[in-house]
Amino acid sequence: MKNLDIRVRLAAMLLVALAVLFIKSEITVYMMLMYAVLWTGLIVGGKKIVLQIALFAGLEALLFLLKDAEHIGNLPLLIVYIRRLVIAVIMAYPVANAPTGKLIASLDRLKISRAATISLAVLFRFMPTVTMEYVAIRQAQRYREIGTSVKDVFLKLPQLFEYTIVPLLIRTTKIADELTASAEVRGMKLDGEYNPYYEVKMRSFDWFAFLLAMVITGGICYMDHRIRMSA
Amino acid sequence: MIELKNVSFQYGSGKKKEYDLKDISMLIADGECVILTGESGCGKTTLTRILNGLCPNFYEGQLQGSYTLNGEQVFASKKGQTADPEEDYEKSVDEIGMVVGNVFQDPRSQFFAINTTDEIVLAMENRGFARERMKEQLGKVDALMGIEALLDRNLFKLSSGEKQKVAIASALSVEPQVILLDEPSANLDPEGMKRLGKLLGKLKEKGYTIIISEHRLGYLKDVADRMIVMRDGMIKSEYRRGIFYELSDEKMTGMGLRVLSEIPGFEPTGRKKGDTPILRVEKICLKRGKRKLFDNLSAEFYRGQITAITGVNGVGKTTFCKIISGEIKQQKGSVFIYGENTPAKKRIRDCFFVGQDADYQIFTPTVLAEVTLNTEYSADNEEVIRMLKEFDLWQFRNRHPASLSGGQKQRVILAAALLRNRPILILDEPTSGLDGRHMRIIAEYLRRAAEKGTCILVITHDREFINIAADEVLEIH
Repeated sequence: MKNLDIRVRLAAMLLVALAVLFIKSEITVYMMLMYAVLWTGLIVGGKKIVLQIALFAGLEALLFLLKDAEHIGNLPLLIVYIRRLVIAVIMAYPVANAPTGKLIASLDRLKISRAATISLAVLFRFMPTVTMEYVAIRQAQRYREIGTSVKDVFLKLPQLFEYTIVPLLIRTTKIADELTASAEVRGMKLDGEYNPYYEVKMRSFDWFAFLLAMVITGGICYMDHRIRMSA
Repeated sequence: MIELKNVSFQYGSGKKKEYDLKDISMLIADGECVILTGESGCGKTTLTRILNGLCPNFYEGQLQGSYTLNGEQVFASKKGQTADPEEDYEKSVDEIGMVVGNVFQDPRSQFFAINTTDEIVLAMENRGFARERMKEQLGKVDALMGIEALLDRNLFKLSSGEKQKVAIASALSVEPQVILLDEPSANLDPEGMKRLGKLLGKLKEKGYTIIISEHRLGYLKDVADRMIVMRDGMIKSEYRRGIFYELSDEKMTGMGLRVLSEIPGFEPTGRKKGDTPILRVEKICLKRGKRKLFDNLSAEFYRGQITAITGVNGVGKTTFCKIISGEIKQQKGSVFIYGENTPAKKRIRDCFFVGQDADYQIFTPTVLAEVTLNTEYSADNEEVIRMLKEFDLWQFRNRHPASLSGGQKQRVILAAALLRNRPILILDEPTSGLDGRHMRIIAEYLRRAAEKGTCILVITHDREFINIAADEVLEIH
């Protein structure tokens, strides 16, 4: 599974991202989560998605706590959709974890425009960077007693947001600037000639995985449909 | 051959009175190795950006003069006029990039890919090289640099030296004639610097023209043919091989540069306040995966003492200091502060960690707000005013800290740390990428902090800085 074609990973991610928006029953949401965890775990290993699973569980717990709460408007609905988004994020990991060259080569084979290909590659390149920058900022905040306790986080949430977002923006803007300069001197441009180093080919196993992803996602959606019909 | 004639450059739309680069004329012969040096902000990086075409094609600005590369004109402005990138520029950044390979200072923002092989072949892919040719080129780079063990690895998991090697391999992949390196030793330990010096020597033997913007010069002794010293955007002086390594320490210090002579071994000063250690680390053990980072590591640190924490890249210097500050928990052993066995959670109250990159540690819109953030002091407190004046920050008190230079930002964080009265101050590579003058200024401010009784731990590879500032050295193996 570790060598699974990037296009199959991308297709599986898009299928799940679409499906989680439309399925209604809770049982099928859990099934989709299980499928996403298994799929991603087999491709990149389970360690990478522990945080996402914990986030899903946390949101689930929050929904449970809020079930009888009043005057909270559409907050539970928002949490329901964020929770579903977490499933799509889990499915994005096998794509984000793919070597950048293979990702660009795969998107190139799909005849996706160079602008979109580069944007997507940069987006995935930035994922680990933003995570590292965020961790470094939070560590620096601890020495300045910013958002160090749960109480502090809740009472000074807007301030904490500002103190996190401003340095994060300064850092990422700087990195983005330098990264663009570095890409430019190495010939990266939207209208240039491009030939990928990697040869991208769909093997029979990739086709099988693609069919399997379609069947599982389709099956869960069909089950959701049946549940809604019978209700 | 590279020829610049009367090149001046100013960032932005030309509203400033002064040019950032003024009337630069230079000739670099094929196969020559040239060092560009000078105090931070002297225009070295801008000059490298002229040479690789990023100024003004990427970093916009007003450009005058002419630039010829291998006999072909890159740009030539009309006399007394600013060059028009559309009309007067005859080569694109991409075209220059085929002749001039670039190695930037910060690997974190230079790498476009996550995987080493992807990064090395990127420039070839972008130029549409045939797959067979890419493989052939990769083989050639491997034969030259021995990078086989580095292929197909996660870039984020490499050591600083390995990252540097990948960056050079990537620059060499399209077989440029010129290699342009911007402070390549900034994140390297002494061994890494020696290896880099050897590699550059090898490239020179192969006929590459090498241009290095650099502060630490010792490792280039056997490679460099010429040293160009810049100041205020101009070429101040030039020294040929055989002359520049004869320059005395006084002469180099006077120019605000780092010394060229062999740095002598460290001698402990014995400076400290009191005979009881404020911080004692006892039999610390930590394992990372299968690797034992620390096995019964013990050390003592005193008030008023500056201790340099040294060791090769990746040995665990930062991890050790993060154990002290409580960010990381040790698996075995104890950390005593004021003689009391202090758990990790409580240690953070007594420590302040100044990270390598100041941008992470700036949160508020003014210097005044920054230094007083979450302290008992108000902005008009006498202690605050005194501290800002002492750290030469008073004139910047209402500026956004992010708009200050790297050294000034570092002083803001240092002042913020001292106003919190934390007895233990830890700094991670505070002189990385600093010129001689600014390195000495940091040493001076740390000495002042130590005089106040702070126990200071500095993670550093910088032997010149250690000799000036440190009282004690703890080398981690």
